[in-house]
Amino acid sequence: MSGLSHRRGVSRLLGRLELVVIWVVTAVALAPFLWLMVTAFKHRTDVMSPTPKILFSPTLSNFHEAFVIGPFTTNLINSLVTASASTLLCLVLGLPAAYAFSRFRVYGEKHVFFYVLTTRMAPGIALVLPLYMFFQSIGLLGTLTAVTVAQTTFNLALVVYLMRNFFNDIPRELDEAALTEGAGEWQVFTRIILPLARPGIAVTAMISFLFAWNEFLFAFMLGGTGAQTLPAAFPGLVTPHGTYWGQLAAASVVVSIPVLIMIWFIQRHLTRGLTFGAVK
Amino acid sequence: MTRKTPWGGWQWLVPMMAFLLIIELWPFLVMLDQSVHYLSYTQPGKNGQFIGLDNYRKAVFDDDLFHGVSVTLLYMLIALPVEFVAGLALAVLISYHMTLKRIVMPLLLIPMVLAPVVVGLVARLNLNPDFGLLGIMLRELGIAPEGLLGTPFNAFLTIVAVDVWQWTPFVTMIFLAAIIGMPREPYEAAVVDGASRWHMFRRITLPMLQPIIGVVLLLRLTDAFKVFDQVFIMTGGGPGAATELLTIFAYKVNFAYWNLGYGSAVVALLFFISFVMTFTVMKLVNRMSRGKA
Amino acid sequence: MAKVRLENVSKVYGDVVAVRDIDLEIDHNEFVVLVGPSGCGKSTTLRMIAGLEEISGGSIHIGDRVVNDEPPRMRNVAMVFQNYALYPHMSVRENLAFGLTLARVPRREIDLKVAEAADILGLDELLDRQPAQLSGGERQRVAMGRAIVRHPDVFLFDEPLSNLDAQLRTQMRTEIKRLHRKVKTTVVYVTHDQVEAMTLADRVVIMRAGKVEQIGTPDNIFHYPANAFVAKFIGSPPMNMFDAVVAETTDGKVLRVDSDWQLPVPRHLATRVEAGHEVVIGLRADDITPRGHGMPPREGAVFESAVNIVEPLGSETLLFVNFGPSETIAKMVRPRTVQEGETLSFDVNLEELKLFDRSSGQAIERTRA
Repeated sequence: MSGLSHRRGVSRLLGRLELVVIWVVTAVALAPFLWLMVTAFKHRTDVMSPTPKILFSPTLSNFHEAFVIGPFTTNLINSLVTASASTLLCLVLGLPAAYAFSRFRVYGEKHVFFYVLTTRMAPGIALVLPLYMFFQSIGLLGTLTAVTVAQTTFNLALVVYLMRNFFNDIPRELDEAALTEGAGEWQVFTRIILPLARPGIAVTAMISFLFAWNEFLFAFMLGGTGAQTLPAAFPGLVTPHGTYWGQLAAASVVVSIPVLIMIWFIQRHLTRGLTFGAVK
Repeated sequence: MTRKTPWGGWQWLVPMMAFLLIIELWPFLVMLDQSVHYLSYTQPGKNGQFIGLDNYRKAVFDDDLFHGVSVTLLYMLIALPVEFVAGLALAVLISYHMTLKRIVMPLLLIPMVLAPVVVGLVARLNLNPDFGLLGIMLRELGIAPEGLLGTPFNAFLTIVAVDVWQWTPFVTMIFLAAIIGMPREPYEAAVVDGASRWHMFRRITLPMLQPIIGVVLLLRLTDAFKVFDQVFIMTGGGPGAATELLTIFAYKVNFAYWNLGYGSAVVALLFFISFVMTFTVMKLVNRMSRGKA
Repeated sequence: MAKVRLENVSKVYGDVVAVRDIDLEIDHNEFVVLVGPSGCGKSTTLRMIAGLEEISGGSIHIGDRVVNDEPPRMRNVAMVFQNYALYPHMSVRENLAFGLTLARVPRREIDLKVAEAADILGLDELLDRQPAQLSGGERQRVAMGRAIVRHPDVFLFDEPLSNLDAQLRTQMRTEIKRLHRKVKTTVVYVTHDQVEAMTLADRVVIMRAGKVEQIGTPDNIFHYPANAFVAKFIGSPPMNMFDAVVAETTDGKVLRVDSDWQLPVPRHLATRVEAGHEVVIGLRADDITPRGHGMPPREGAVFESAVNIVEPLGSETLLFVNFGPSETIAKMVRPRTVQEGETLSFDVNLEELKLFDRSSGQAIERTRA
């Protein structure tokens, strides 16, 4: 649509004004986060400076304290393990289901779908309490397994929804061609659908990884100290004696890096991803 | 077009369903069972006793729970309209300057994709009255010298503001995608007819956005209802109980006071509310996609 | 090669009947074309033969097997789709080989068969390309190649040419016909294009609203349409149709179109109709010709009219002229320049005049000469 707008002088001025507004909003959206990023590279005295310091001598001491002296490296590894494992588990469980929903008239499809969706829409606390008691009863509380499994629960719905959408984009004639050529459904799935859906799988995996990576409550409650992920370690640095701003900022930078990288790749698909495919 | 398959396709769902039954349904049923028992350390003698719906009855009359509901409602009532108006305005503005879209949108999306704990931390750092970027500015201007998280009123407004900061771009992103996907012809016809931009917005853009507005609204509703992480990091529900959302209340009952029987009932109620909301979302999204086909 | 037999086959979606009680026997190596307007059930019928749609009633036989409940892969049929349905992630070679690899045919044999098919269709140069790099016609040929390599019992074509431009379509049509002569197999071909149907088919099956209207050779269907629908559907321009009532006059029976416009009932139909019979007259443009610009008919009628519209087609010219109260299309096979508004006299070839019962639409059968 766009572009049909400015025709005369007045509207050119208006156009300029609009540009200014857009940039100011963008700046407001970014500045607080940038401030945190910058803080990660400041000495403690600069962090606490009562006049905001734009110019300062950068240092990696915060990262050193957090990841070398402190325990954050373990947390980082825990985060990587649980996010990757839960993404993998989501795909293994969700891809066949998404295929069935995309291709077959599944009995009770609507109900299953709805059930899957509730796990996504329910507040984390509503899912974490049952899981907490469940893992406690089987002695898995505080393990990476518990965190992985819990993160799978809330990503599964997303994977099924997104992948069904991606599968729907693959023309059914291809399945039908393969079926008449002698393929069974499993072969259609593995030899036609999965290879063709590879970009979609990559996007879905990234989104699912991001959610697991960013997730706090499940990891905090179920990981305990034994399987603490990076976000779950944050409250530990807000102590009665004060907040370890430098280390927290450093950890924030590390948590945010994969997010920022991936957002670049999945930008185009984010709308779809965050609206369950309701908006393309 | 879907095809028929033996077993109604259920062989493909077995792994997922098995997982969901064991990991979700079973624990959930266990929790429901707990919610009709007395489970707390305050009266050890009574611990484990079956008490029917007492926990639910208690919940209905619990002032703290009611407070949580009010905070959550107020939170949504303020945050969502602001996000909608601001997000829509921004989307329309950007649609007039499409060359900017590729640079501006990814930047705008950053707050949205950050880990909620990072969002909470960003807020705390920036709002710190002693050395935060925003905190210092406000202090210099003489606004809220006690710090934005310091008083109940300020703290509540702040968590709402953070929500607006984080999620307005989400609204923008979806509306922008919808605007870009619109057919050009009505706009071209309107230009030929000499319509003003405001007219085009009122008569063409807004009506065409209508189905999507519903979807975004309900997605935002469920998401705002779920909010926990960043508020937990920012205020932990305080000061007092000023920012004690329903989710934070539920957390405290279970994991701060270890009142697990009553807590289970609260969580069950929470689940029920979100269930109703999900149902509505699903109805709407379904109707939309059918409208497209 | 195999016979295909459909017995009382029907397909119901909810309460919509897409195909109603179709009976059809297709012989070894016969080329049968299902044709009809969109929504007539032709594609559904084809897909039921392929096993892509379940049948709601009746039975389908391929060779001597009843295949009703067999999945597509057990039926040994090959299908060519409208959009070709080439696997985009495989090269042409892999596309051709896919069915054979599924059947676990040894590598060497696959190579041989692929080479053979590529040779037949002239695809040798393209084997290592990806589908995206091919033109429409090339994709079409790969799709056919994919069917050939497996030596299936039956070839199924689902509107295979409708995505090609007009020129390529004519060319591919001939190629399909040539291919059929070469590989000799049973073919069921679906199209909405009557020209395709007429040129390709050994037998044409004309369908409408889920039912078979007529089955016959192209010649048969053109000259002896079973009903008004078939008559109008086959042939271009479509057959001219006029409502008329049979009346008895001193000169014998006539077809009265209105009070002052009538045609004699031709000899071959004279005993078939009685006065008062409400009928529809069918006359092809070929049988209404300007004097001296067509074959003079053996049994004819003559009328005069001004020419309303002239449509020159090169080898022939269509003239829109008044025929009593309505308009009709006449054909000039040895064209000369005609001005619009010019008045000409026209021969009507009564020998080819068809009559249809107005209420049932069924053709009134002619007496054998």
